[in-house]
Amino acid sequence: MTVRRTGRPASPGVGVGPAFVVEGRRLAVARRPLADGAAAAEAEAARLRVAMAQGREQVERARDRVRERTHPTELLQVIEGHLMLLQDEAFERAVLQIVQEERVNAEWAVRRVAEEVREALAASGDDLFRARGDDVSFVAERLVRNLAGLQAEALADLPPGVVIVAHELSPVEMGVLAGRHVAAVVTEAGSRASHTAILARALGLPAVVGVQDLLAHVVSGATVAVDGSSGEVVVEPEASELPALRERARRLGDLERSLTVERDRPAETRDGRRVTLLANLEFPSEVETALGCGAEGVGLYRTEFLYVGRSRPPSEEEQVHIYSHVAGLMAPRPVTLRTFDLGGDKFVTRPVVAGELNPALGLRALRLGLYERDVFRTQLRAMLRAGAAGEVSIMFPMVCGVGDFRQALEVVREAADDLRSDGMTTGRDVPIGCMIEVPSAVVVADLLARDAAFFSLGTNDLVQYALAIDRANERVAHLYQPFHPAMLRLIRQTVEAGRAAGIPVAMCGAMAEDPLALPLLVGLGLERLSIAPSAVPLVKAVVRALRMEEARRLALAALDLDTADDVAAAASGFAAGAFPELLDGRSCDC
Amino acid sequence: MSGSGSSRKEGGRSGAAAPRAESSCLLEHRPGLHVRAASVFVRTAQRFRAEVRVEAGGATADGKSIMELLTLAAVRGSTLRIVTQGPDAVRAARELAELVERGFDEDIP
Repeated sequence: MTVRRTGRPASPGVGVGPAFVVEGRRLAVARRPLADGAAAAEAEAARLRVAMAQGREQVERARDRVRERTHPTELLQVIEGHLMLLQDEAFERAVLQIVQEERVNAEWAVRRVAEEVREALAASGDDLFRARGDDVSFVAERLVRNLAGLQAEALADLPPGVVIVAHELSPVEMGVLAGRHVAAVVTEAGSRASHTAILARALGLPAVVGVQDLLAHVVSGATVAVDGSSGEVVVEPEASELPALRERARRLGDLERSLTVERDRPAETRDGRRVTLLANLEFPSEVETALGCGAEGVGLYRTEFLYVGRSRPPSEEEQVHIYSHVAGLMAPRPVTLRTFDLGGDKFVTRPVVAGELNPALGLRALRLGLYERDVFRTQLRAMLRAGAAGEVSIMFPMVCGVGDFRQALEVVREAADDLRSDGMTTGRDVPIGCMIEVPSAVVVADLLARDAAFFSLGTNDLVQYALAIDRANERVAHLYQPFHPAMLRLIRQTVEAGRAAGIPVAMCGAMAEDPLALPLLVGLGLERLSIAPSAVPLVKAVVRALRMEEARRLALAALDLDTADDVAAAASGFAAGAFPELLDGRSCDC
Repeated sequence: MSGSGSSRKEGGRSGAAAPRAESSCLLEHRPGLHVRAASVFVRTAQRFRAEVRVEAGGATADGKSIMELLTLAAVRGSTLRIVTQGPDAVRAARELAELVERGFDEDIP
């Protein structure tokens, strides 16, 4: 019977194939009293040591597979952690103490130790910690299986083309999948930030996590279709829908392969107009993914993660370390750091504004920076210092006009003066630019361009503010229209102001990832796009399918259209003619 | 990674006359001292000959044992006291505290 579930899309792509169900990791373990005498306890100790040695070999093999194929450093460190546990004297001592004192078998003792650790971690009351505390359990279950003489790595011997279905997969199990022919991965547990999700993305495996009530409906061998872009999972699809699913999986696979082949070619239109593709990043770990996808730099480095959910703002040193690391890995490619774009309600030192009536129009982004001047200056000092490590630029979010931009520049000057008097190096001059995401900034873009080294259009906020639409409000969300003629005019005005002043204009919103919007954007004269790393291959393919002259004509015609629907229809018609083969990938997750 | 056992014993054998040092640091790392951070800490600690003890919330752990560090269950906001003893105790105490304050070199190979 067909069963349909929706989970969290974790890694894009579609996979269809026979299910390979990974049994729940917990084997039944009996408490087996030992025979009297020292020899019985010695025998258990020997069994434990053998199981630990086997475990080390298994984990080392998985680690090497991951290392050969991808570089998710964080995951390698987690896997190293598992390896360390398998050679940890304190762990071994704890198990053997239970074996000797309670005269029980090693399996039972291993479980007990894992449970004690889990309880200690659960008592810490920290959700994140609790979730990650499962690692000791993963290691313990590996040992229990080795002690039972079972093939611990059920995944080591996989038929090709299967869909892995599990309650959850340990980082080591994901490592075992590296480089194997797997159609997709589905788990009941997990979030987009889980190790399963991160590694699936790094390995290019379609994956959906957090699917509730799935295992009860799947047996190994059942056909399962997984859409890692939408989060849909279908067990035993109707015979009538299978051909379409298989075709979509094949097309996406072909597209993926052809995009990978194109990775090292420039993003250039057929008639030679070069477009620079940069990546939007948040975490330092994404740098390698971005480079792997062919990004030519970082057009937007978000720094909010440093401030959210902590008891005090990040120190200057911590920030210098992170920014320099990103700038150094990217060098000589450019990295644009954006100062914190937070609402007052999320701020660290104190909730500066309790329950603002309208937070989108409240004390946030640059306004909050100018209000929390010391925290802002510390961030700017760190960013200036990171200038010594690479090609760093700084930009401010939500600039409204020349007044607030100049105030921000004044804080930069203070920070630079402080650094000089502290005898610190700041590297070369760091260019300072502004995000253009408030309509007033577009209206005065020609004035801003006198002081700014560059502009970067933030379309998500610009649409919201220009059209007065709250995307989170379901009753008006359909009116959030990036193709609104007003948007095209705002973009054109910004591009022209930048061109007149001779400064570059980039776009770093979701619009720049939409294959339908790209011909319009290139036609309007945008030459720098900053997008999610995973979107780089597709956007590059679209750019390479364009002719500048045709794109310009499309943009000119669109500027004269009356409604968002008219613009969207023109864009769709153009895309269907220019690059029909690329349109299926537009749901590409980022 | 290799030789963890022997380096631990050396630290212990250095006796009462060996230099002793200590440092304190605030654990600001978001996930706390979980397995990834602990593995980085242990790997760094194992590079020193000094014995390394880590104290948090009234409990103490061998800084070269990932198991003991994990069971400290040190969450963000905990203060860690690092006590070292051995020939390179001063450097060990300083560098380990710096590692914690840098957020365990998150994402840095």
